[in-house]
Amino acid sequence: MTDLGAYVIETQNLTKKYNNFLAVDGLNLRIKRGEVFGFLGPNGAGKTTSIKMMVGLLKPTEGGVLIEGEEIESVEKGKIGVCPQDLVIWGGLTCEENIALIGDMYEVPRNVLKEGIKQLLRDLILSDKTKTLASQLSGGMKRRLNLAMALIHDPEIVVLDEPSAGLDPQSRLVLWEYIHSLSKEKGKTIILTTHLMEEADRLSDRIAIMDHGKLLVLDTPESLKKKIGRGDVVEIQLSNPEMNEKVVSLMRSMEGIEEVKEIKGKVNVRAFDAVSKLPGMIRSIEEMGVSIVDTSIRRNTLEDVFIHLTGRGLRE
Amino acid sequence: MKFVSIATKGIKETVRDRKGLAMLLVFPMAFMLVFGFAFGGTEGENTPHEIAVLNYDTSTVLYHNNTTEQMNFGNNFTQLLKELKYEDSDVHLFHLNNVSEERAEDMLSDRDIVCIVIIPANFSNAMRAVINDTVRTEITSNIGEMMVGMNVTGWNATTGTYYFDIENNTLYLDGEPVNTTSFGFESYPANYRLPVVENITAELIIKGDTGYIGFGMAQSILSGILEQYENEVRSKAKEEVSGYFDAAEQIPNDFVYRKVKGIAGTESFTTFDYQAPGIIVFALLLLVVGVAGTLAGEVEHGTLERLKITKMKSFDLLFGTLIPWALIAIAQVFILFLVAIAMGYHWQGGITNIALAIAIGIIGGISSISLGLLVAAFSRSEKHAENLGMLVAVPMSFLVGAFFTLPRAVIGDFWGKTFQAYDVLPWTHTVNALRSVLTFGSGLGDVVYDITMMIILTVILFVLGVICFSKTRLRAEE
Repeated sequence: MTDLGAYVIETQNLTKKYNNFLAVDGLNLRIKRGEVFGFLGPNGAGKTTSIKMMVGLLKPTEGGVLIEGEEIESVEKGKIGVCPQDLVIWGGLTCEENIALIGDMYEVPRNVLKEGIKQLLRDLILSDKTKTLASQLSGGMKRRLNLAMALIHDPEIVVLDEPSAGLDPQSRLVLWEYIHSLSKEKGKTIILTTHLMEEADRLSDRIAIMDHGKLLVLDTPESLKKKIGRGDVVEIQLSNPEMNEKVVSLMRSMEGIEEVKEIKGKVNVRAFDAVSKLPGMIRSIEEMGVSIVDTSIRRNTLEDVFIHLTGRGLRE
Repeated sequence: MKFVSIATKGIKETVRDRKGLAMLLVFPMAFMLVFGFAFGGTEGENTPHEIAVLNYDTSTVLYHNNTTEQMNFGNNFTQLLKELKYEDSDVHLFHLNNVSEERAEDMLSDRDIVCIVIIPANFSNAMRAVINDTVRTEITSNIGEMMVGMNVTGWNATTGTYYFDIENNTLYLDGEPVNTTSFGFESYPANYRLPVVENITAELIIKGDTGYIGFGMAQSILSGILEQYENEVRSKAKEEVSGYFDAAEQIPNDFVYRKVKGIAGTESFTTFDYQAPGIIVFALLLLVVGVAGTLAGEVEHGTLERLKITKMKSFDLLFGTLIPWALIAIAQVFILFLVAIAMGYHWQGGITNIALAIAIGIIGGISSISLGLLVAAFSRSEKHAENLGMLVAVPMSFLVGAFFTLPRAVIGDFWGKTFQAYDVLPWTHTVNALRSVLTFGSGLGDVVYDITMMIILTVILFVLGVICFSKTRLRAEE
């Protein structure tokens, strides 16, 4: 039996239709308390529409959203913090004033608010910009301020819509570490949408990939990489290249091997979870009396999974 | 109080956006300077105001000293209007057209005359009541003064409460009648009776087109003359009574004292005097652009969506937005008023008029803010809202008669006033009220109708704006 208390958000047949266009098609999801839930999909897949319905900004055509078992419409505002994809800040206010305004709107008590602002600015490395107008910040600083404004009321659930878009590697690392600490140290449930596969892979406990409004797959990053895509590729260089053809035949006869080809004098073997199969491959080749000069492995990536599921065609 | 935080945010953003603030304040100021330069210097020549006087006064009888006198104050007042002249000039203030009521109405419609003065049947009786009231007040206060002057201790050292029963001509001490001889009351006229003051109110009507500058000027001058006329009658009665108090039989037989004096509002008016309050209203109407742009900007930049998911209510956003713009409205009225004066605007009244003008400006500003809400509700972006706002505000300023007199478009009569098509717009009343208060020096009583209409229309517009904006922008998207 499923422990319902473990799930913070549940979508039930969540559907959104715009005239004849089906933006979200019967989405059923359960997001666990304290997990980082990666939400992936190409442009126009229905991610943002789904998230807008999940936070109560958009009314579903059918279905509904439950937050801790309660319908989203009746959930107390403040349970969710949203960091939008765009930089949603007031350029004419200082960093401190931007955060304070949102804090006031969430009715955060004055003394808590004051401390909260200090803490957030410190954690997001913006302390020296406290009194700086938001319009005068760099792109990375604005994005960190954008995040701070989503967190000032200490929400249980944090929705981060492409939080690191346009950030330099240093700023991205700061942000990733902070998101990680939010989840692992502060126990926040985080819904993360991103186009950066590395980000999703590094931060997410589970990943949902959707396209054309439908949920295609939902699993941990590791499981996805083991099951979906073109698999890992093992490159084997033999001491005697004349034996390549025989080795190719041998590999093709082995179980769990997806494809074997000779490319530029090397044997390329494609298989899921190739790491676990590699000792068996080496043993079989050596039993043929052929020695191996070099081997390398290229793991199946989340990007491979994503491309495999959603195709290579451009979207807008 | 979340609306305070929203208002504070709005004020900070407005003050820090110097270019935007300059546009809001400098643009109308430039208008005022240009209009002042173009129209302020051309002093108009004094010409009589064309009016018609319909005197329905039935006269009254004045009694005193066992004699009676038939008196028609209506005729007296009409004669006064005929004789009045501009200050330091030989030009008469009014030219009275001797016509029937029907003909007067036609002339008014054709603007051959600027107004009709209707003197009611009980005008003389009301004036008699004014005289009697003055006489009674004067006599009783004199008796009071006499009693204060009495040497009580010189009689029998008794102290206590004294009062004098006028009807019975008896002095009382602590409720008991006393011998008045010792107090020197022998000379008090035993047969004296105080005049009875009748409860009469006469309504002199000044009828005309409230949106027409000619009417505005004439009604302002006429109101001043009527007030002065009543004051003169009162002061003459007072002067005569107090001067001859101890000899009652010498109460005067000529109550109406007439003196022609220059009064406020008879200086030469320029076109700019008419336009200056209109330019203030034009500036207030430009708030539509600012409010619509700001709110549409909040939508476009996603900040409204950010606020929507918080605990903020529609009231907090809309009231919080209203406050900084109302402050801008106050600043606009005040600054433009000063610029207008610098450009030669002949304003009337005192500090009360300025305070009243600011209050009118705030209501007009709220009307514009409400219209801004409506514009923002149907705009796709900040730029779109600003363009749409400009498209609405500029023609609207002409429609409400901010710059030029409008042709008549009568719908009917309402609350004793001629209601025109333009009167459905609150700013028409803002223009009328500001002109009355600043150009003609009228007081609150003279602009009650316009202020009431402004408030009613503003409330309707605000409710409409709130409903539309809330429905399109503040609810969860469909």
